[in-house]
Amino acid sequence: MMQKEEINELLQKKQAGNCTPEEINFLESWYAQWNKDLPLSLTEEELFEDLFIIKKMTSTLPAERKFSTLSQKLLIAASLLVMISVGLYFYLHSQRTDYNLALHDIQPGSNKATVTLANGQKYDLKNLTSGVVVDKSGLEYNDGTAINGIGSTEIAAQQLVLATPRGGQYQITLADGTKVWLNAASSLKFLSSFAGQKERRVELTGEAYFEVIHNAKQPFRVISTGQIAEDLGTSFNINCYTDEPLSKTTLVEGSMQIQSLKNTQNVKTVVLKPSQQVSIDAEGTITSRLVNTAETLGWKNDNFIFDGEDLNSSMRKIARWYNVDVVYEPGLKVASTPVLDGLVSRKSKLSEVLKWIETVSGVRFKIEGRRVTVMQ
Amino acid sequence: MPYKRYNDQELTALLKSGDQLAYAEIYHRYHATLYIHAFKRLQLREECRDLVHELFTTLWIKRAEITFKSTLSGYLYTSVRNKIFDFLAKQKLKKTYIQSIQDFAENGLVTADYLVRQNQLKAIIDQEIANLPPRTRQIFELSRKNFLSHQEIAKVLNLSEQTVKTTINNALKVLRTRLGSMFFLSL
Repeated sequence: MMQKEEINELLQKKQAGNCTPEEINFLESWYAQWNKDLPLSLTEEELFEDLFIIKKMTSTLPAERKFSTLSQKLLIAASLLVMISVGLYFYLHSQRTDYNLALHDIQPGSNKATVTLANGQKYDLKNLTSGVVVDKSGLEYNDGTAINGIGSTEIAAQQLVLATPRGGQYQITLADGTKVWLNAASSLKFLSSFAGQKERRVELTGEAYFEVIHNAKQPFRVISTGQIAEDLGTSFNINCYTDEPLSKTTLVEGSMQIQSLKNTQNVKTVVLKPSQQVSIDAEGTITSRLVNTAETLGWKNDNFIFDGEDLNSSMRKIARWYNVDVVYEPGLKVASTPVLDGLVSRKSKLSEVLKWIETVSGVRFKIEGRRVTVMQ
Repeated sequence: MPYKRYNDQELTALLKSGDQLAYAEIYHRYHATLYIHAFKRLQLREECRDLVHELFTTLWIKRAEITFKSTLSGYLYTSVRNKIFDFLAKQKLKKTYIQSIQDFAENGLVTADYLVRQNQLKAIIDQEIANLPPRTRQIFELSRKNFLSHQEIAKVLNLSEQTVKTTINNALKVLRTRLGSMFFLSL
């Protein structure tokens, strides 16, 4: 019988690389059958947690290690010194940022919008209700209460504009029953009644999610930067902010088609399948890919969902919702800035969102007034 | 993501030239497989997480020197085995490990051919993944796709999103403690 000491000695030899070929044959053959048929004794939650931790540990690239002809001891001493100063720097730095973040905190966005009538008169909408409804009696809040100053006669058969500021969102049910959720800094132009119209035509800037009541006899069309989207029985999201490089339309359910308006010589129409996202760039070039619609609709469910999203694009979302300006510290290497993965509630205060990003990435933040600085 | 379309051989060539995205893709393809394999052997969560992390760190740092004798998977599977042997050599041996080696010395069949053993190892690891229970298998697949949204995980695990968030926060706490102690060591 092999003794414990003997096994130990064999393993030491293996580590030191001093095993004979026979010993290696023995150890590796043992390894090949060791616990081979054991079921995995991890719960799903444990496995998920472990993979998540490994991912976060490995997400930053390890530093290069190169030894020159210098004495290694000296090198280690020098690197220790660097480590101490870097550590100290980050320690003091993190203290300072934390202090700043908490001190100058900013509340999240909320239900805020205005409605503008054809005569230019503008009304602020209550933030206690989440939306408005257009019906025969005019425009009213979705809890059935009247909007002060707007009667049915004022809005009869005319063009209205519902607009949200930065830091606002609102929902509207149009005259045909179609529901539209407007994200921050967005606007929707629509008719108070579609009766007698060939089509139901609305115009969008910013971002909105549509749940269209389908009516083949009176198609629903959304005009936005460079494109017309037409419902064929549909729920879809359009993101066409002017500060975004691409205008993105994502089909959630049903069917729809997109027509690019930029390329007038060669008018292109694309029919989307559920989960398909069509992007149109400034030149009118159309690209399409399959996406996770949960991510696209994160905002509507009060979440920021980042699926491998780069920092710049994530910060644009944050800027619109918290009504802040984002600036990058000079010299910050944007190309090497991290890609974000995960979910954080849009109901959180700004400091909580920024702290989350600090935890999962390498950057730090400073809040001064309504300005957020991204720092290394 | 064009990197998903590269095969292992193309990825190793890109890795050697210092391509970080190739490294990330290799990582996504293999980290879950290697972790599951290591955990089944050692049955120690923290140690196996560190082991897989170290393995990838080495892969990046030594990318220029590594010669991938056979395939990328061959290299990774041999590496995880070496790491596990190193771990056994460093630790006070558990009774179960000793028992297993003793039993094998009595009744086991030694395979003398190096190549046969390498193929054996690959077959075992493939089998391990194939034998995962369906729900665990889904987590494995999600981890490879590099997409783990809370909703998606919650759906797969049949848990509330809140529970998923708690799990992630626990994981982050573990990480912070680790980073905290590393910081302490460096001082």
